[in-house]
Amino acid sequence: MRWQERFGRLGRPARAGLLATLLSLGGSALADEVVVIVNKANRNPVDATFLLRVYTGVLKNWPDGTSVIPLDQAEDSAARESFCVSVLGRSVSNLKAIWSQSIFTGKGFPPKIATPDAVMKSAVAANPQAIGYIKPSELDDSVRAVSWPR
Amino acid sequence: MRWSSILTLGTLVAFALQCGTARAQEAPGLDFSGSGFLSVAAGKVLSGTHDAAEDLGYHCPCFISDYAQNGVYEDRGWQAGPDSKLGLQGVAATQDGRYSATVQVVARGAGGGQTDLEWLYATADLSSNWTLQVGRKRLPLFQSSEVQDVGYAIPWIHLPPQLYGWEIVNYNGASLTYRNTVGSWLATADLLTGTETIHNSEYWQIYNGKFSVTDTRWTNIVGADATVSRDWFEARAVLIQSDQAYRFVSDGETAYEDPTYQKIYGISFKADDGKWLARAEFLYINRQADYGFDHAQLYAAGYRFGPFTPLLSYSNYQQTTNLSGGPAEGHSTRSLVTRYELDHSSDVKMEFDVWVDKSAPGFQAPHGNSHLLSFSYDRVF
Repeated sequence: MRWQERFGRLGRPARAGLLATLLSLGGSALADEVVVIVNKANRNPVDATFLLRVYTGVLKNWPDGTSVIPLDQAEDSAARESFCVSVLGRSVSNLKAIWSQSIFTGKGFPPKIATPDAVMKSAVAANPQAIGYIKPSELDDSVRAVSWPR
Repeated sequence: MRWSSILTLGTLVAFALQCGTARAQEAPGLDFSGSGFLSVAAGKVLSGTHDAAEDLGYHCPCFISDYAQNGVYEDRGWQAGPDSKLGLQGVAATQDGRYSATVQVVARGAGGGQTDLEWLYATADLSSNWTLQVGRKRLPLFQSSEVQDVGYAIPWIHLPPQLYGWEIVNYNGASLTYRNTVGSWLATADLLTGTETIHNSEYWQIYNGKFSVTDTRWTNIVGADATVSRDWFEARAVLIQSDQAYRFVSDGETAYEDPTYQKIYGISFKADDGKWLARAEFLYINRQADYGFDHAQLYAAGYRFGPFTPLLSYSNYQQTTNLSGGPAEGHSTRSLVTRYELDHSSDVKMEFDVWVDKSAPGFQAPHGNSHLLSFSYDRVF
């Protein structure tokens, strides 16, 4: 079974927006072909270490103490590949092996799947605790893009 | 070798795979999900020695790949049993994910074929920092104890037996986990307590004879472990103590002997930056009230070249006894493993192991030295 099939897909496709805040991003996120997004009401800082911990299941909270809800794109998507390799510094398979350890030892479950970009964006826009990633060309002002120095 | 249990579970897996998305179901207030893992492995003892006059029922030279499950490659050509296994897991969770119940059964080719209930526990996330689990779980003696059956999640076909070879791998009880960040470090701590009784221990068949029957039980298990991690680095320390007792049933013993106290210390380090991976793990067991002390070490390093991950490892075990006052049983294994990722859910591995028996005279087992070549296909689903 593909992991995303275990949880189904989230939300409904939302209308694609324009790149209202694209120019405000750090250059690195654009170079990675994905941009990390959070809810507009979420002001927590995000960096690569935080993302790696959240997307490997070892960190379950935002810095403000609320639960973090990570969302992933489909396992065979280009966005997933780009996010894992360029942002997290791991291969998709490496992440899968790490999650296999968590799943079969009761330590947690992998992020739910929200794919394609429009579904991911609407899921993040609807939940202040959610975090995800989309192609830069799909970014609009319904969500907040985050960047960090590298 | 009895494969009926694996075949039965294999049928269930085939059905589940055919059903595709049917394995994730929702009911009012609850989510149900199913998942599993599979390892199909085959190995052959290429050469070796036979150290003792009495063979304990094994056709040696032999390579012991899994002490706890009596996974032994004998000098019988290619064998598929010792490292082949199939696990199925079902989880029912509340939709907020705070409460869940998990069951996991594993069918194996090792030890003549058997199906074991390895995990059966309830989880309650008391807060974002605290988690309580009650039921049957893996005993976290070692860094990879809890994931030792999931071939896809580990870089070996079989975890180095000198360190990962112990009689008890599960316990029935409760654990309380705390996690938090401390500066740039992530810290996790566990407290656990419980008991475990094993009838007809697979582990003790390796020492007492392939057709012997030995019961063992650990009571008053109390333990704690702490893990700190940062970026690519992780360090873990564990301390577990218990009382232990045996009875040699096939020798006519009906009552357990008086329990003896033991203390188990472990420390491990893991580094993985996505390309390089390295491990070091150290074990020290004080069983002075019984026979003496156990020491074990593991060192491993590997590098990911695209889909390939070659890995070198060395593991060593040394026992010292009260009786001799010096070294007793001892052995080491050097391993070269190559893993190739077929896709995001499966891999194939090839492993070459060199087992060297370093036991003192009088403590030699029949297994002797051995060279083992093994292959595996691992999958999670």
